[in-house]
Amino acid sequence: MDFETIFYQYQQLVFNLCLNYLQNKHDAEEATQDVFVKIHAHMTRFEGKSSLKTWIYRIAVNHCLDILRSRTRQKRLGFFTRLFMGEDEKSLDIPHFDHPGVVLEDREALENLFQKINTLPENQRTALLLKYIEDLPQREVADIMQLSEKAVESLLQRAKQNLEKKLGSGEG
Amino acid sequence: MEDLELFKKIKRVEPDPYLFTRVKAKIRFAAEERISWGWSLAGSLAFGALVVFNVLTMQTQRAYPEATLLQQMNLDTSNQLYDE
Repeated sequence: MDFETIFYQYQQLVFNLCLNYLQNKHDAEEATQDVFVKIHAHMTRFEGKSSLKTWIYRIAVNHCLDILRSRTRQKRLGFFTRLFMGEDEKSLDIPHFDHPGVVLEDREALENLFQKINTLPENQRTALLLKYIEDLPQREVADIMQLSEKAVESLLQRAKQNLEKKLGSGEG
Repeated sequence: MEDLELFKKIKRVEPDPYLFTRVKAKIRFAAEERISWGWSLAGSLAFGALVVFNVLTMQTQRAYPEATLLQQMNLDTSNQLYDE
């Protein structure tokens, strides 16, 4: 399969996954482009041990997690910059919630839910997003995360417990 | 957990129609960058080799003091050019 065919077959999948991780249209578009650059660069190294879809999901998930880690670093750095240099908070480029798949009437509730999900540990967040938003079967989530089905089940259980606590206490 | 049911309300979104053009541009840029990195690396290696060669030459020359070199090469140190 050539790169163009792969792109048109999976662009929607990658873009929506990035959108659900980053919750910002502009960032999701940038991330989608970078994911496909990576796919293009590593296409020859794809061994076919997993399905192409699983491999693409893995690249996209890892790329989004990298972006979120760099956002966290940026936030920490911004905190220290403000603390020691008295910089304005606006100078920090942390993107706002801009998810085109969310209709206006659900926006507040979903923004709140995403905020809580963003505070979960990376693997719990990934399991939750793949299972409940991407609507993937547990077997596929396990393949993407390179875990056993049981491990995914336990991750989902813990994610739901943590989320319930956070939603109950109104923690941000 | 009913909060997770909210996720079902999220609609799938179509990406920008120009996305492929942008991806192709990024791939081209990445390839050009790799080439320019390659040339920079080759230049640096060539310069490094030149410096090492110079240092080695200087050290070899130091190992033969001038007097020994003159003797080895049978050179005459006088200004007398003709035998009279």
